[in-house]
Amino acid sequence: MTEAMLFCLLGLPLICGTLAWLVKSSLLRNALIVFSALAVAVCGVALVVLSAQAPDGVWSFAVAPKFEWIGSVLEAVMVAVILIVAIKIRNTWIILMGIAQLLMVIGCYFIKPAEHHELLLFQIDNLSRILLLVTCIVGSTILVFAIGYMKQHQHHAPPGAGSLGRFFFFFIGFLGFMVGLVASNNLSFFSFFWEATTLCSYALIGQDGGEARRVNATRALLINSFGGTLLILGVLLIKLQVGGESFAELIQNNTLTLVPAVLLCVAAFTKSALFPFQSWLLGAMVAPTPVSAMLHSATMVKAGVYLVMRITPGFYDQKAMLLLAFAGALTFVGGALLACTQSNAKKVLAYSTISNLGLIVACAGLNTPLAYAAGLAIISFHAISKGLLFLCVGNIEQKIGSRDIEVMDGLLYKMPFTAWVTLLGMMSMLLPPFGMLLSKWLAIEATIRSPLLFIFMVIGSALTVFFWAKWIGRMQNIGYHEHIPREQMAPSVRLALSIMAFLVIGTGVCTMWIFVHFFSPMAKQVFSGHEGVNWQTFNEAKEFFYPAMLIFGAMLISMVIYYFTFWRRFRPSNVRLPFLCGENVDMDQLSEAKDVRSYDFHSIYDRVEHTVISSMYLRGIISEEKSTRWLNWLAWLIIIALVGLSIASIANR
Amino acid sequence: MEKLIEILTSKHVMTASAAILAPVAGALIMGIDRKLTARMQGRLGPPLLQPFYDLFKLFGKEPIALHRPQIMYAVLHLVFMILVLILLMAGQDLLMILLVHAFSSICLILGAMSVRSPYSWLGSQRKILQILAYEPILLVLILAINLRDNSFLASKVMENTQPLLISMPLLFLAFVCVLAIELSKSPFDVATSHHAHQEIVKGLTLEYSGPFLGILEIAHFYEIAIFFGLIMCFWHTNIWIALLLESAVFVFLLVVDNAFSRLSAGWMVRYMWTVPLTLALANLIWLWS
Repeated sequence: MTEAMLFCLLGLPLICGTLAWLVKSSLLRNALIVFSALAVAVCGVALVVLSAQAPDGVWSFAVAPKFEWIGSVLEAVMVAVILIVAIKIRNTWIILMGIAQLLMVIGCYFIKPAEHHELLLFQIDNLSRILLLVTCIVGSTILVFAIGYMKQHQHHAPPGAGSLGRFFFFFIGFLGFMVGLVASNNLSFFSFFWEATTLCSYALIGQDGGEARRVNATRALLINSFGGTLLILGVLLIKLQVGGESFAELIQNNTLTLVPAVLLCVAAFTKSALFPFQSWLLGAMVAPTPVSAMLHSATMVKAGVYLVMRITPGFYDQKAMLLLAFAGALTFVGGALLACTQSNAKKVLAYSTISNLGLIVACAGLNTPLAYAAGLAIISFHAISKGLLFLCVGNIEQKIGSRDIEVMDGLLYKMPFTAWVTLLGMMSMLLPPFGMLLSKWLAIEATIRSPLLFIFMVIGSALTVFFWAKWIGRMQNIGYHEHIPREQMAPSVRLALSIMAFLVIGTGVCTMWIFVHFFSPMAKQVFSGHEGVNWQTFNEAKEFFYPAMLIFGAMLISMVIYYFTFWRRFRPSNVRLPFLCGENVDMDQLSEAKDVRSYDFHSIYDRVEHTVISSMYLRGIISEEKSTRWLNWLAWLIIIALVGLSIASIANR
Repeated sequence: MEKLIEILTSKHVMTASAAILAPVAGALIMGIDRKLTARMQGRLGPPLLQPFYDLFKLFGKEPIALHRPQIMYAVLHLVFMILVLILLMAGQDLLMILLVHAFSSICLILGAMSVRSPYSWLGSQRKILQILAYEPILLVLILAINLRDNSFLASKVMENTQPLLISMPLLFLAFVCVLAIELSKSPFDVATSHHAHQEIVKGLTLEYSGPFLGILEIAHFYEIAIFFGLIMCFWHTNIWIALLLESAVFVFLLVVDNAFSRLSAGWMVRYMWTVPLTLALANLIWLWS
């Protein structure tokens, strides 16, 4: 039964995607998409529930060793496809890396592996289950959103844009590949799915055609091919050294040697767009919004942090771990800092994603149970909130034709539903009682033994508050309206936003419960066999249940007080215009002219002057370009140190 | 009789009474503040209980606002400020308390940003900078406490028999700067001010009036009480020394307030991230070694 679910999840998206590409009728295509979204969500949940029944919670799928060639062939085919694409777009670097990859894959195939009785193709444990849930639920909701969004998008699409069928083929297929990636235990299967997600993201970023898309798609392919090359090199080294080819063996036997481990980590950096590889994710926002939502929340970037979290418990070198944590922390601070300087909503979201991915890697690098649990929590909560936010920004952009944050004021009146949901999403990124705040605070507590990291965390969190608060403030800026009209929107868009908002609220209400009952036992299980683990902070963290409830209670109490004492008693006659030294426009002018706002004022001859208030973007203090250069330099420094350290460890042996 | 005393000194009753008495204490401190400031400027000054009179008058006024959400943020600001006090009294995790306090401040900012008023908007942007300026110092303070007592719990600080001031004198100086920002004293009163006109009128709280301004005032009383309580925690072993320390800080802040004019928000961030933060980090480093 469990196998059936897994193969459904792997096969269905590809089949449905192909069918969606082939059919001409849009009604049929939409039906196919809805069907695949439902199927992915149902099968995903079923797979998670079923696999959790297995002994020790680890379910695996084994075949006879003679089938080993399948993985290598699949991998070689995928690498060859990327190579063909590279030749088509005539990019020398990608071609060179493609050839190198192909050679290594062939080399890998001819290395005689250690003796096996059976080949563990797939294995699903707690970490995989979390990623599965994220991919299947968030991913299929984005799929539903894409139906309404892409219909509208195709009306305004530039000439040369790909067809809707092509889009949905890669879009649905992406989900299947991602499921395969988190479920596979065999390294050649893993590399196959890794390359497949690279290819999908290349195709989706280039969807709309045109120069800007071509450049950005090529950049994404280039950086991810670099990562793929490192990954395959790491796999090759692992095979050469220990003959193993599955994660399970590597981690259980502690045979993960430093060089391949570091190579895998750097590969994960490229996929997760950590500094200095962030440029591809920033460029990816030229794609239609559902693609960004998919890349940022449910798939792609999560694959990188998944790989890091998968291998770090098997890492035994403290120095390397510390460097890894620094690489993550640097990205956390850098991403948050650059997000403060942006007024482009999608760019703010992109930098915020990068920053959070850095935080996850930092958590993995800390290698304590508390940090690990925090990392798991961030992966799941971030996926939901960020998915929601991207969908909202996409919807807003379609309506108002801009993605500039400063234009988003008064949206609570113009598109109340979307605006409320967006506010909810933003608040879930930094305010209590939502999960992101809890996880961030756990991460901070976990860094206590390394003060330098602590300072990084502190500055990063302060900056995070800065850019979110600015945006929330701008979104909810509104004049007084007694009645707010209902917002018109496509049913699939409304449905997708509602589902995501429901998920955000649900996980927000149960944050502490989820943490105590799921994430913390998972972390305990991972670290139970290890020595010298700091359990003190981990156990203290469980005491947070009581104060977290207090916060929740305070929230409810204030809402009740507010409702009964103020909301109900408030009358339109209590409303006044803002203070402008008595030179306000009057109420009549406000209702007559459309472009007059309540903070505009009279100058000489009763002429109406428009007030423009902007938030702070630190212009002239921090320039994106210069900071990026410095941050990239620092990040390269850390990566080179990491690689150097790992090579030195061989020499020392 | 003994039972009665036991009940009265139990943790919950202490917490509850602190939550009720704190705003009174805060208002009294503010009354003294006004009186002393007036004397320094050669004026007679208002009566000691003036903050109470002001407050009662505010609640008697017509409730005027720009729209409804604005009021919600004022209520949230107050409730979470009270929660900070309760968590502190219960000896909870200091990091969490700091986050709750930050949330309370953010509610104030969002309330000011929700209305379409340029002055209030400017004030809120400056308040964000204020938070950015003092938050790192408070976090370093918490880190230092953790290094000393090996725990984030506030109750552990009280159990240690050595006063905090002895191990962290430089952090204390940095904390005094934070206090000056929190109480909006010159030269840091960029977001809103107790003094007469500034260039952004009343800034952050400009668009609140009547009972809603009253709510913010009560929250401010709580904040004063909390921060002065924290000063006393630097010498918790002896109440008289603690009071002496507190009065010294109080008078110092007043002198500085009257001697300086308000400076810009950018200057404030630069100053806080250089002088006090360096002091705090230096203290941290020597605790570490």
